[in-house]
Amino acid sequence: MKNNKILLFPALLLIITILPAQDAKEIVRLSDAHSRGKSMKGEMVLKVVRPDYTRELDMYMWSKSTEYSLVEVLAPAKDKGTTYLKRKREVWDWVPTLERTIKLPPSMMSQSWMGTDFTNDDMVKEVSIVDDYDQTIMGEETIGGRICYKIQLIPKPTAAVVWSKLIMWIDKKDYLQLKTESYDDDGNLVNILTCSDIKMMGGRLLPTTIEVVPTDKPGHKTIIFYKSREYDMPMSDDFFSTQNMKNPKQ
Amino acid sequence: MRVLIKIAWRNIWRNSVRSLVIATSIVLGLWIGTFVSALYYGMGEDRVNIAIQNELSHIQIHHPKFKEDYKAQYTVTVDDALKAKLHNTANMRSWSPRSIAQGMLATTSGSTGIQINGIVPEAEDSTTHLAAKITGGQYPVEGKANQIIIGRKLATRLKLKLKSKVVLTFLDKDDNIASGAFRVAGIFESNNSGWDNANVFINKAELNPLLGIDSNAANEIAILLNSNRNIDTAMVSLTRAFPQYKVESWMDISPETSAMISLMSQVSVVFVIIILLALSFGIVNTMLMAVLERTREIGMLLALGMNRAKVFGLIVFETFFLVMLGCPLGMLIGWATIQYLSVHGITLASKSTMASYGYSSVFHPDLPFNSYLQIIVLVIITALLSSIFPAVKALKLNPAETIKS
Amino acid sequence: MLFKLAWRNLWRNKYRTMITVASVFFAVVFSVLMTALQKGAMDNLVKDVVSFYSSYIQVHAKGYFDEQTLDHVLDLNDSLFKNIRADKNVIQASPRIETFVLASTGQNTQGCMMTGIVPSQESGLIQLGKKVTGGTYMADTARGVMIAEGLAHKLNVKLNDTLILLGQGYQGATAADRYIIKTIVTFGSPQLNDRILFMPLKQAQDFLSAENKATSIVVSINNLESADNVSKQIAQRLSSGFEVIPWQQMIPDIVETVKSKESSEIVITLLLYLLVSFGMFATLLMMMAERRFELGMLMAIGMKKRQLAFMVMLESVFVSLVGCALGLAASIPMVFFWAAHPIRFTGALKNMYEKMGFEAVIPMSTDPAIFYRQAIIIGIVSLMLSAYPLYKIYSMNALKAMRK
Repeated sequence: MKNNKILLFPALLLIITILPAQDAKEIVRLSDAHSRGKSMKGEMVLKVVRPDYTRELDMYMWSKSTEYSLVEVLAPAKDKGTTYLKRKREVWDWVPTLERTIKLPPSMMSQSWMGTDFTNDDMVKEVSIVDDYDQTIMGEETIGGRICYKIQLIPKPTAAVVWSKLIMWIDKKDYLQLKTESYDDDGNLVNILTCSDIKMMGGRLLPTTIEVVPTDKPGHKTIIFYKSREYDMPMSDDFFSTQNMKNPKQ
Repeated sequence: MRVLIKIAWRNIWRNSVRSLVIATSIVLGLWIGTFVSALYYGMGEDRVNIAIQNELSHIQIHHPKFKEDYKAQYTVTVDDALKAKLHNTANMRSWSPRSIAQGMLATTSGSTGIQINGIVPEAEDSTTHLAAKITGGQYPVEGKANQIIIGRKLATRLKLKLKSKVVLTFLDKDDNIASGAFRVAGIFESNNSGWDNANVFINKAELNPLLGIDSNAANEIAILLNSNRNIDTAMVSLTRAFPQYKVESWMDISPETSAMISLMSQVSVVFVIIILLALSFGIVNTMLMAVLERTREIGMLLALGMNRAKVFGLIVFETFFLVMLGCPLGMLIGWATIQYLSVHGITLASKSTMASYGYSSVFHPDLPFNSYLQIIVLVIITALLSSIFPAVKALKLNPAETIKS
Repeated sequence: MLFKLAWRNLWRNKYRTMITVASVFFAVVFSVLMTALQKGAMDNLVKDVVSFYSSYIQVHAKGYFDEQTLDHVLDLNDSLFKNIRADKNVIQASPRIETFVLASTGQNTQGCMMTGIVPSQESGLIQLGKKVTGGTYMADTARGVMIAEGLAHKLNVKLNDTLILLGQGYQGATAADRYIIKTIVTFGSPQLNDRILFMPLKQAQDFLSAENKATSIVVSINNLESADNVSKQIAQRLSSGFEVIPWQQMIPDIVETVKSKESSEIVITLLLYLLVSFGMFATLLMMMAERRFELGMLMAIGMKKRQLAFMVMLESVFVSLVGCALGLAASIPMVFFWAAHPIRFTGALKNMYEKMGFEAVIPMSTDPAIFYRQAIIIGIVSLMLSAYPLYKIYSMNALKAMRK
């Protein structure tokens, strides 16, 4: 199951200025910039739900633009200290029990990340919902009491994504991505991502619960809870290095 | 002596039934013997040709380090010098430059490991007849973007159709992850479904930039010669022309194929031997019966005063003539059958039950000249020897008794 | 009375009878040898390929065949094995747990297939012990890994090097550990040789946090053709949460190879029959030609054509029976001897075949069905051919026959 990685790290930029009716691309750009910031760090809980078991990962993440990110697993105990590093198109994995850093080869890309519904590939993808898609406004709908633009995104021919269409609901007032539907070639809905629990965190308005549900697997779900978030602190590129994986400073 | 020969000749035509039977058994023996040998020989050749055509080609050229790990940076430069050298190689029929990456193909319903082949469409088709294997959609056209062709088995497994979107992920020359989106332009199906499942093709002009190598670089050059027999000379001249690269024949590249074909040929030899034995015994049996039935006649000749040596000679000459009559006819029929079928082929099972492991459903019997000779010699010797024994036996009989019985 | 005449006829012309019997005899011997060889070679080929890796039958949790992940695992317990082994055709049943993992030396990293096995049992199932080309074969309780030669080469590791394995375990648990390479094994098929890694089952279960679980139970049986039936029987004894898959479904490629060989072999066998039939026919033809006078004489003294025909028929039947019986008597020992002492390849050929995983022999099958089936076929053909003498008798004019 693939998910648009951009939505893993949403955040909200409080734009007070009310701009005149923007075009679709601009709306998406604003939403994307709001959720991302120039740099970001925070703690979150990832919950994987399956018909016969549930798994929870507690982790801390740092990221800078779309090119660098570092994730450290804090719990459960068996996985504590495991760190993932993404540098541009490379992904590295530090496993404390092995005391080794391993670079992930392409054959691992479609394997699931830490047993979740996200794949290693999702961690690496540098796909921008702004530049790699063509956006059109389809209308307006209300979600959770907020009026949203309903925007259709079609990937450009060269974009390396498996989806053929995305539909995104972006809140008109605060540019929060509240819902995304992913479609395949035949127009089948494959994935639904919904955001809720909007709160102030790190100076921005954010949905703090993200839920991803695949349509063809009953009983399967991934839920992300954001526990803390900070934005735009100074972060050098060197922070995102294999040496720093062993014990990254929070 | 001459009289003997005349009598022998007339005897053949006199006793038409017996002569016909002997001659027919020789003709039949030759026809079946050559046909069966040709069938097995042809099947062996077919397997070799299919392997060569589909996957291996006669000869391949790589950078010496490429095959170790399939790392993109180990390339062969396809410049004018290389083109000229290839062009000048004797019996060169066609060659195809390819870039190759091993990676993943991902769709919304799943992903799988595959080998991505970047080809120059026209060159590839002349070398491996890839276009002929397209069963749905179209063969890639140079210049059109994002085309990919995939095997039918892969398409079914991942629920892909024409125009379906796939994402290819692989490592570039700096070991970074590269990816690209493509749309299924065509679906191919070869005789080898395992191969169909493991290979996809895109334009080399699109793969090279993703790999980060020059547009005139290739990871592999596949060469098709005019015939299997030209391999040795071609290997010598190519190895000399390209000391910096690794030049290999299909037997070097795929010893498993060589082994499998060889094993099947060995087993076939035993089958052919059994058939030849059966036909030999058949001829012996027929001869025994033929001479046995003539005991009365032989007794009569002896009683009339013909000397034993001459009677013996008579029988041997008759046999000889019959063999001489039967052989050309048998060989002709055998040869004609083989020639016809080697062109048209025998279709033995429906196509759907075949087509994997590289076996086609059409067999082309074929036989080298040597084998024809061997079989003729076998049949002649068998026929002559098998007439001698009963002839000798018959001579030992008492003429008076034989007339009586 | 006709019986007596027929009997005496045969004994009167000993040589003629012997030759006629010989034609049937050789027909039976060659057909039996040919068929036994074809079946032997085919069975051996299948046995070789089945012993590469898959073995004859596999038992999985339902759904595993379509999606080979740890989401579909079996619980291992005694009753499961008891149910499988209850079938008398089953020789061995051994559990495996397989999954995709990453193998790394720090420098080199490669995705591979990791299989947890019971080494002592797998040596019988896929002759794993014979494939060892470095180090010693691991014991069931040892700690370490057995790596395929091609994979070792890609990772640039050798015996006693440490290998890190990283992957996803049962129910999403992370699997990460390091092991010493205790053995190197070589497979003929590059698909296996470049990708596979073995370790003792218990160690694998610990690694994957999958206690007492397996992804398949691999079963060997004594008769490869009965795999389909045995699979169904085993499936009946197990609950619906299982699937039992015979080799024909696991390696469909070899089934197609078998079918293609069979069709060419049918052609060859038919040609053989043609050849031997002609041999039998030729003797009959010449026999009838020679006996024209004798038969004409019998007709002239009053024997009815019907009776003559019957007498000749009796002779044919006798000849056929004796020929078939002798043919079997001679060919059965030949086949058994060959089966016990098959032609073995030597030297370079032998090495080449064995390296690819093929047994370097030309084998013979001793399936009894071959014997009686071939004898029956030849017997029937021989009787059918004896229609010729009957035809000759009925169309005979006594006077003309005696005129010679």
